[in-house]
Amino acid sequence: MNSMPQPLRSFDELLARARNAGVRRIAVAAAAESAVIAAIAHAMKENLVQPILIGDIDLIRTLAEEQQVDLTGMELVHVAHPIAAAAAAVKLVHDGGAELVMKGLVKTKDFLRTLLKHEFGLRRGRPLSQVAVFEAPERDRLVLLTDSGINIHPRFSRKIAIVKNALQLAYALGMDEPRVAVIAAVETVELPTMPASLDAEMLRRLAIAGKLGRCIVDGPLGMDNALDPQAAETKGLTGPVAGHADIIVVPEIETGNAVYKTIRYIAKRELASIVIGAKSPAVVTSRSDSANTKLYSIALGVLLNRLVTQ
Amino acid sequence: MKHTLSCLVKNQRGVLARVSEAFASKDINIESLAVGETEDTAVSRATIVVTGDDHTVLEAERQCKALDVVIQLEDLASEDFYARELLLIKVRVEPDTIPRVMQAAELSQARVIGMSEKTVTLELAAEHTAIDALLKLVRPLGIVALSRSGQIAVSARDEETPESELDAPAAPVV
Repeated sequence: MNSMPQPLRSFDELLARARNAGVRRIAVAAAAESAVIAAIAHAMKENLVQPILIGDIDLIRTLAEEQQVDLTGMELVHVAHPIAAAAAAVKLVHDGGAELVMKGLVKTKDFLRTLLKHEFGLRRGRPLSQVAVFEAPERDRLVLLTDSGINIHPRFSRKIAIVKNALQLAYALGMDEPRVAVIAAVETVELPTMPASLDAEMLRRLAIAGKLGRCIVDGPLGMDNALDPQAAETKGLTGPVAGHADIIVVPEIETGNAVYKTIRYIAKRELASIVIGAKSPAVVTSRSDSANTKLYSIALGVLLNRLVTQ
Repeated sequence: MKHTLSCLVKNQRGVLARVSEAFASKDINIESLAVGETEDTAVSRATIVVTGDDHTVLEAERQCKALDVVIQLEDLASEDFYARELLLIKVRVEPDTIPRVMQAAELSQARVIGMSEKTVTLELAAEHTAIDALLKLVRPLGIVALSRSGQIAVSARDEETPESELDAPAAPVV
């Protein structure tokens, strides 16, 4: 009998699986932000998390009242300055007082820097990367996109870490042997003009040699050939990844960011995202992200944390 | 001491042999020699790197300058100058060494200009110390082929165009 869970197909399934993972304590850094408070309250209602809100308590209470959010059951810790609040949240996870950390109204760079602090950070010797997840209704599973938020122009060694981080999430989402498409503008290695195509080829070779873990990597592939079986067939691409990619690895942040926002604003699909690489996954959403994106992102963190602590 | 000499010569056959002979006659080995046309196609610039005691090198320089094919010769060691060398190197690559080869290229800012199943070819235009550093990184991985251009250099200061018969203005038409 196969004990592997089936790959998750939707955010509804993600929420259900996260609920089953058990409630996680989440430390929210600089929590005085309306959308964050609403998302945390929602996640608590969904039995995903036990929140610890760190920030300006008076402001948190005022914002909660304005939105008619009930703070009952949430722990409040007063730390007024955003960076100090980030430090307190990260330290709490470091000391075992919480399992997850979430960014509130603090600059992303300050939050990530705190996450990696030597004294009390969650550094684990692996680079951080962001993995986004989106629904693809025509597919039998969720699709991952990386890195659309942290690594600006990753070198090859960083791309290895980016792939490994994404694989960790893919396993948590029930994918046994994720299919990884390394994206470029062409399907052949073009040198020296398109170094991303070389990175793709080298990642493919590493995967074949078993250096990346349990996965199948192909590249360079265009987005169409990575996701659409017909497009792949038209171009004569017959590998197991072409047309069926589970993880999309983009060459640099501009591409990742554009794809993320295209999915959100043109395709009108919901996304979730998580920062991986530290000892604990970090929920880092932006203020423009929807309430659902924040909720699903927390669910990703819960699920991933369960896998890490298993 | 190492000397980098920048030598403007007439772009004619046999010039290099005569310049080389000037150094050979003083028992000075030329470590690298790179020659190419300048902005004036009748003139070539030879960048010559030699090592020797200052006195002997100076004598060789004097002998060079005396040649009718040599327009100008400067010892750049005595002033600021820009120097670069081009390296093309083919390195063996296997799954275990892929990260190291790629990292070596990244660290030294070399470009990967070609690849096959067994090798990658890197290109680096840099000061010779950077080229030496890259070689140190990739040597343990297996060098399949290597070619260095030899150093080329220009002075950092504003140069005055040397007067020569090649630069002489055409006689006015009366």
